[in-house]
Formats: sequence, C-alpha cells, structure tokens
Amino acid sequence: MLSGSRRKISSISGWPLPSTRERWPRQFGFFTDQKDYERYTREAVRQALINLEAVDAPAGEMDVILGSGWPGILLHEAIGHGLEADFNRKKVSAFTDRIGKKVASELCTVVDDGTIPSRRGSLNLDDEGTPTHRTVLIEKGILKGYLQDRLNATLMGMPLTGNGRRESYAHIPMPRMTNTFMLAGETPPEDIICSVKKGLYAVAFGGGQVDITNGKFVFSTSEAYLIEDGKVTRPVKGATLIGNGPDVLRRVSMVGTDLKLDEGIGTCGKDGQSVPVGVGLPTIKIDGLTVGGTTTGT
Amino acid sequence: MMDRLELTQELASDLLAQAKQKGASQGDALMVESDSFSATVRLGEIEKVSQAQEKRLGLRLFFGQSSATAATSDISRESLERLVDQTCVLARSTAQDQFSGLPHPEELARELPELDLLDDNARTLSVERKISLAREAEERALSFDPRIINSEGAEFSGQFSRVIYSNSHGFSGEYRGSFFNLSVAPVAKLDGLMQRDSWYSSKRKFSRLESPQSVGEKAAQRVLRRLGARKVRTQEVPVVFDPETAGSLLRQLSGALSGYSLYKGASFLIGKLGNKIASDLVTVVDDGTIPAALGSKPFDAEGLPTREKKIVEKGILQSFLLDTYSGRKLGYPSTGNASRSVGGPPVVAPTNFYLSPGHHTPEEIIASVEEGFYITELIGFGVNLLTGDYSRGAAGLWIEKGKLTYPVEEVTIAGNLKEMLLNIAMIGSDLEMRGRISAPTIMISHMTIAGG
Repeated sequence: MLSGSRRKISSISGWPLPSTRERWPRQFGFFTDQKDYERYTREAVRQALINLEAVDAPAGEMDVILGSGWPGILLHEAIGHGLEADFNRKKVSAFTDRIGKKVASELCTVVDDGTIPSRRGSLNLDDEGTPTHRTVLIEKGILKGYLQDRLNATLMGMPLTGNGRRESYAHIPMPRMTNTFMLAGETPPEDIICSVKKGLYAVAFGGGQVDITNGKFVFSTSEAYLIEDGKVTRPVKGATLIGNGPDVLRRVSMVGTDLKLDEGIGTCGKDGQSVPVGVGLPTIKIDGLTVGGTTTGT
Repeated sequence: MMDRLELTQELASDLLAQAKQKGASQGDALMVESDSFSATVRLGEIEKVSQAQEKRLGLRLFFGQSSATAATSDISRESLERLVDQTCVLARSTAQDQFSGLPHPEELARELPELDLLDDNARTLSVERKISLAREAEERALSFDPRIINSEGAEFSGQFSRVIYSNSHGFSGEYRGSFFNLSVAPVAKLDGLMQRDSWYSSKRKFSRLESPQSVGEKAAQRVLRRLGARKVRTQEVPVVFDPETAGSLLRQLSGALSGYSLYKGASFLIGKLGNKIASDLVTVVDDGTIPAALGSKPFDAEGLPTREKKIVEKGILQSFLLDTYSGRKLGYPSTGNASRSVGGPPVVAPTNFYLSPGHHTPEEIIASVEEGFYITELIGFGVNLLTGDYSRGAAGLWIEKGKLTYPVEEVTIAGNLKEMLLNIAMIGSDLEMRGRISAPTIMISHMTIAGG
C-alpha cells in the first residue's frame, strides 16, 4: 500500500502533485526559498482548477499512458510488494517461483535502488545494518530477484539486498522497498501519446493497494486526461485503475526516454508499519488496462 | 535510577496545579497505560510472540488562546517537571487561535456510566493458550478443504488499557478496558492461481470471541468462494454490499461528517444539516454508551459524555461529528466525539457508529436482484470526500436471477457517494457490531462496474 498524502501544501482536491522538475530538498533552504514553496502552491492550484473542469472518467478496458515520475506507484503496487521475500518464502505471492520467467515486455527493466543520494527511499544501511543495493527486479522482461531482509534471506538461502526496514525501534524488520523505478527507454514521450487513438493519459495519482496473493492491484488517478486521436483532450475525474501484477507489464508496448523519480511524497504501509519510499517511471504505454470511471460505452 | 511514578488522577491534578503556578490559564492531562500481546502462528509453527507494556502521559496547556501539547513515557518527578516547563515554553510561543480552549465546564460529564469494557479474567491466559487459539483457528481453516494449501498465518492478540483524563475545570475520570482479536488468513489454489481471504472476531470480552473453529471455518468458506474468479464486462447494475464492505461506506460517511473535514471545506456534506442526504431507509447512529462494545467509553477525550445520537434519521442529516475545537469553528457545540492520542491535540472520531438494521434478510436482498454484483472486498483509495466521487477495486460474486453464482475480481465499482447514499434501496436485518463501525447488508440500486 502506498499513499502520497504527506504533503505540506495540498490542493483543494487534496491529492498529490505531479512531478514537474528535478529538484530535491537537500538543505533546509529548500523549504524557505520562496520560489520552491510557490511552485508547490501554484502546482496545487493548477491541479485543483483542472479538476474543476473534469468530466466523468470512462469505464472499461482501454490503452493507458502513464506520465513520468510519481505514476511509478504502478511498479510499487503491481510488482514491488509481490517481490518482497517474506511473501515468496511463504509462497503466498502471485510471483512465487517465477524467478527466471518472463513477467514483462522486453522493454521493461525495473530496479529497487536504496543508494541514490538525497532520495526519500534512500538509506546508507538498512535497519539491520546491511548496506543498501541497487537490486534488479526485472531485466528486459525477465524476473530476476526478490527484496530481502536478514531473516528471509537466511531461510531462503539467498543473498542480502539491504531491504530490511522497520518503522522504529519498537517494530520488527521486514523486507521493504526503497526507491523503485523503471529504466528509461528509447521513445520520445510525444510519440507515445500520438500512438493512442482513444485512451487515458494519467499524470498524477493518489494511493494504491495490492492483494499480494492474486496479484490484483489498484491505483487511483488525481490528474488524468482523455486521449482522442493521438491528442490529450479533456481532464477526467479521479478514477481507480485495476490490473493484475504478473500481467500488466507484459502489456507495456512503449517506454519513454524521460525517466523521472517522484518528488518525495510516498509513504508505504505494510502490516501496520509505515516507511518512506520513492518511485519513478518514464512515460509508458500499457495496451489495455481497466479504468474504473462511471461513463460506459462511447 | 529515578523513581518511577504510578499514573493516578492525583498526579494529573498535581501537574495541572504546577502548570497553573507557571502561568497556564487552562490545561488537561491524558494518561494511558497499556499491556498488549500478540501470538502469530503459521502452518502450525510459532511465527511471532510479542508482549509490550507502555505508560504515556500527555499534557496540553493553554496560555490564553495559544496552546501546546507535549508527551513523555518517562514518568518520574524530574521528567514531569521538565515536561511542564517545556510545554509552558511551547504554549507561550504558538499563535493565538480564538477557537482554542477547553470545553465549557457545564458540558463536562458528571456521572460516568459503567460500560463493562474490561475482561479482567482474561489476564490469566497463558502464552501457551494464546498460541493454541491461533493454532486451532488455522488448523480448522487448513483442514476444511484440500484446495486450501497454504496460510498467511493466524493471530491472537489483545490489550488491557487504563485511561485517565483530568482538566483544569475540575473534571477527573478514568476507565479500564480490554479487547481481544482472533484472525486467520488461509490461501487456496485452483488451476495454478491462488486466492487469499480472512476472517476475524474482535471483542472486549474474551468469552464473547467466536470460537477458533468458527473463525477458521468462515475464513475457509470465504477463500474457497473466490477460486476461479473472473472479470465481468463493463456495465451498470444493482450492487449489494456485504456487512464488511457496507461498513467501509459508513467509515467514509463518518470521515465526511468530521468537523475537521467540514471546516476545512473538504467534505461533500458541508451545509447539509437538516437536509436529505440518504434514502428514507437510512438511519445512522453514533453511540458511545453501548455496554461492552468496542467503541464505547464513559467520556470522550475532553471529558464530555458520549451519548447516543442519531446522525442520520430516515435520510435526514441530524448531526455532524464534532469535538470542541471543530465545533467552535463551525458554530456548534461538541457532539462528544473528541478522540486523542497522548501526544497530540484532540481529533474527531466516531464511537460506535452504525447503520440501523432494516427488515430484509440478506438472502431476500440477493433474491431481489435479477442481475448484479455482491461485493465482499474493496481495495484502494479512490474516494474523494470533497466531491463524493467514488471508484474502488472490488471482488465478490455475481448475482444472476436472485442467486449468487461465480466469483468476480479485477473490476472496479464507481459512482458518487451523494447518489450512492440516496440510492440505498434495501437494508438487511443482519447488523452485528463486529467493529467500531458496523453495517448490515445493503443494496444500492445502480453503480458502474468497469471490467473487460
């Protein structure tokens, strides 16, 4: 479960902002520099105004383009949780016993990387003293690895990955994600949008959730648009997208050049423990995902 | 080693007297002492056993209209003296807020009802007994059917707690309580695809918990009926919410009724007091005085009585859920719904919040539907309490000609809470207070299902 509600400034729609540019709060000055907090405020107002004009979201299966950055919440829900070692040791994950198998299109390489400087999900050591790693989860479509803590790595006879995390001293460690993202591809983002006749372009999301065992995941848009004849047209109201983790990345038919990490808003909840995490994504196209709006037919 | 003090009402008034001497105009102290445990078993083996004792004390002080709250778990003279000093410093330096302050003295609870919230006998449960309760529930689920091949485990947990609250208007009260929870999550497999589901029982009295056998059996039945689930096509149909998922709608209603959502302008129910917000069948009650119920307490986190109140009566909105601060912001008295963690200011929370039962059995409700969706699980966060827009992932069973047929998954249900409440067409007689927020089966006349 990932939610992005930890914002100091939120719009009246109360949902997270899309990423707009790379800038990271390394120092306290970030929070007092007027142009930074103004940018957040303007962004929140912009999104609220757009949503005032939103029409009902469509209902049914259609092509979906996810914008870069925070829409990487897809990876967190659809595959990240399902690759945490505890669920795989217990064989209750939809990804159980699938290492070495194809779970995504060849365009997809997904990593979990706790070593990126100044990122929300980064740690020098995990909460059991293991140095964090860049762990390849999916390489060119093939499932490569799990996210391990000490207990599960030992029981499974697999190497540590530096993903043993805990909310506080009063909590036990569990395998958790750090910064989870897909590497950039080769298609310019404009070309991806042009390729869709009728679909949804989603650039900002609220929270998401996954059923680890059957792989069904959801994530909910907070800024999304219809695509008609290759053009982004009307904004639509918030809608939940639902898919199947082991299947959704097989439907990725285009990956953009514009990889971006989110702006540092994600908090992941598991078994009652909350930890800060990052996600990232280039613009991608998914051929057929169920969009949970209210407008049926065409 | 500093002397540890016992948490008592005298200690609370002592601290408030110290604060007054140091210039505080008003204040209150909240103390919580808890003793909690859990035992988790998976595939018959012990997975985790935990036990924790905690004592915490929170102090809230007002200097005129500015205030601060601070808390500690170091309950010694020296530490508490520092706590009073530091809270004074913080309270003097925060911004003035004309709505801040304690409730008026005449609002405070005078007689505290005995609500039978504690099961003291259960303190003698041994660790072995706790483990075996979890083990028995899991065993029953695993042995129920050969398709049940795995388990995420079973857990028995509980807590004993003592709450003391005193304020500078002279209110002082305390109560003790307990709760116990038994749950199991079996995994079943068919044609290489797995499903998980769970069942639980949660009560203030150990003796009132469902038996491990019953919890295990229900969990097994719930997971088995999900096997072979499929998508349905996109369409608009009547939707039946089982009591668990109907409870989630009530939870969202309580969020939209919270004084904090309302004064921030973030609720679809702003300005709707006295208006029709739901179908005539709908009566919603908040009652913190039900004996031995999970959400009961003799007074709220500001010392106000927790009375029974109709929130919605025959579809008409009668009351918001307010504490003193949010009430003043909106121009209404508190409804006795202040809730507070030791370290923070009060917030609003329902006590026992439930949808009054109707006259139809769940079977009659299902039988009334020609074609529709019986929902047993909802996931995701696609609910906007400002606009009422509602879109969530759902799983359940398809209804054909009044009968439950095949399982359904990977679909969403969507609508708008404003219309959904007005479109409640039938309410079941099957209300059971399984949690703080409870509802019977309900039927909403139409919603959009998005699938294939």
